[in-house]
Amino acid sequence: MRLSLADAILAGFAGLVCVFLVLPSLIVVPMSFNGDNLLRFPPHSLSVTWYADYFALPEWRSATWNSFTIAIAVTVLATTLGTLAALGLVRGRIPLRNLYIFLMFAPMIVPPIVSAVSMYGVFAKLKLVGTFPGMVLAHTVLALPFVVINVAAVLQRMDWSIERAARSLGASALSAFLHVTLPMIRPGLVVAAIFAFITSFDEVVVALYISGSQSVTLPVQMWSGLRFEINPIVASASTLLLGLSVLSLIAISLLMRLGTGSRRPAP
Amino acid sequence: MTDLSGRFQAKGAEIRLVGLSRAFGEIHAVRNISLVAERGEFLTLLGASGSGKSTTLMMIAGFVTPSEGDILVDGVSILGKPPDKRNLGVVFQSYALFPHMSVAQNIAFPLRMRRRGSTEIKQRTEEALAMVHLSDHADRRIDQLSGGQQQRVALARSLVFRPPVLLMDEPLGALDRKLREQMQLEIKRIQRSLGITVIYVTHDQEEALILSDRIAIMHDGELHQIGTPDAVYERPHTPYVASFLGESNFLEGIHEERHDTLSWLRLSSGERIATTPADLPIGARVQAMIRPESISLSPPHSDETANALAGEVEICEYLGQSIRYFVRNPASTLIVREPRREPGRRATIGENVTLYWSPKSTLVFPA
Repeated sequence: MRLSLADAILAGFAGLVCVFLVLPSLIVVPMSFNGDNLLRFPPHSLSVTWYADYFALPEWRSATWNSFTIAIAVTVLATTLGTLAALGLVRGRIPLRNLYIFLMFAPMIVPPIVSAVSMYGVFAKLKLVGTFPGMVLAHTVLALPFVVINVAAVLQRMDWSIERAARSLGASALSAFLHVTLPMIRPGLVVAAIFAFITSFDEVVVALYISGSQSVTLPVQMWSGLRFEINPIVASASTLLLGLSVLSLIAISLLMRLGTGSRRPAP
Repeated sequence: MTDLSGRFQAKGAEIRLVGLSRAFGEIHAVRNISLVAERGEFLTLLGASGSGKSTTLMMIAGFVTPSEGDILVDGVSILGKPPDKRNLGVVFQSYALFPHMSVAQNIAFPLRMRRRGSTEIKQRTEEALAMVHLSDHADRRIDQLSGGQQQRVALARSLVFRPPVLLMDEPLGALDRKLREQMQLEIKRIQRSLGITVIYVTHDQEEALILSDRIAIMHDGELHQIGTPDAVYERPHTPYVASFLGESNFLEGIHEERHDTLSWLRLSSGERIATTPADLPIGARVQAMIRPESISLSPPHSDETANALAGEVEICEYLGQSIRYFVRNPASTLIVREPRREPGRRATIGENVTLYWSPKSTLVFPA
């Protein structure tokens, strides 16, 4: 009896969370299928005209292209650097370890607008504003802590004698890493990579400052779509982004389940 | 049982540790260890946790760098070599199998790392699987195996590249008693048929006595004694060795007289006992050590001199093959272990008894 009461309360809270947090985001889905020139809910007529525009207009297409290429580059760079950093932090006996951790995690704590302004100052001098490398660098800094957290968590769970075993069996340090450590931490790496991708793909504050006019990303394009006109393409773009986020979340939860399943069983 | 001597011709190597030490900051995990494991010998490093036995093994394997000293394999120092170039088999306590590989892939790993041809890899993996009786399990995932089977995979994997030396770090710690005894036999069989040198680390004294050609007893990073199982059990060099290996009674006293064949001690209770001759000054505080099975409740049949102490039975434990008594005497409470004999006399709790034992089975250590 007590248990079912607790279950009911839990279900009630979960329901409230859904209503207040998730439902408002979902409102863009019906809005995106609206037929007239306004952002409107509920829609008066159904049409896919704003999706057609989204895929047809060059500024939206180039913004989407920029977002994807930047996010992919960030994913590769942040995952590689973050994995190396996590390996060093978990295993190495390095001096000033806590200082490195603090610096690496600072972008998570510092308000995005502060990061944006300070990066703008430096990047403007280096002529990186509005360039592809500039955007990739800025987003890599933001994505790095997520990668380090995820990879470090997997590394901490790993039994180090497995890598030692590989070494004793004739694998060089590099072979042991490639043949044993890497396959074992792969689920964590993929989760970290997805986090890095989303961090870059969704990011708007830093992008507003750094992207300039040359490498406008999708969130920046959406921002200007709302800022200067109420453009219903924003709704269709939001719906597509939402779909991408949901797919990523599903991928992450599947991978995490896989990750726990493949851990070393108790002897 | 397969005869392996033909196919697995791994000849054992000699391992020599010379003044090996390892300090972690202020703590000396291993202090000045020198010993030799002969070719084909089964040498056990025995000690409690924190005795430095595992650190010593990991120094041989190459995972811990010694602060001082040298490690020689067949007379050649291996200190400059990384673990993968030492060509030593290592079995870890956790087995350390690769969870993302099948049984056969695990065993083939060292051969792949040595870039052997695929036919050779296949053939030698099969041989190794047969050696540990796991031929039917080649394609299983590691998590589908029992603890004992995982242990066998780890063993096969560490032997498939025919190393001259096998290092084992508490390999049977996680197995239940029955499986452990079975694996002990198995390890001994494989070691004999391969002629390989084994350095085995355990805290289990019984396991050490069963398996080893020689046992090295370590305590607080130091090597206390190295010798055959009967030598370390019957002639321990230090009270620590005596108390760590098997049960023992200690009686404190003063060294009073020294003769050619025996010494006399005066116990704190005022009684005198005879012991093996002690190389200690007269008047020194000493402790005498007697094994529980050396003490009897019945007087000796021969007219050889025997020590006799009176006491009262406090606890009486029936152990099947033997009966263990705890007998209180003014000097100490002594453990007595008498074999169970059919018409034998049995003491009961509260009974006053006399304990008899030979001076020859009484060893003397400085207190």
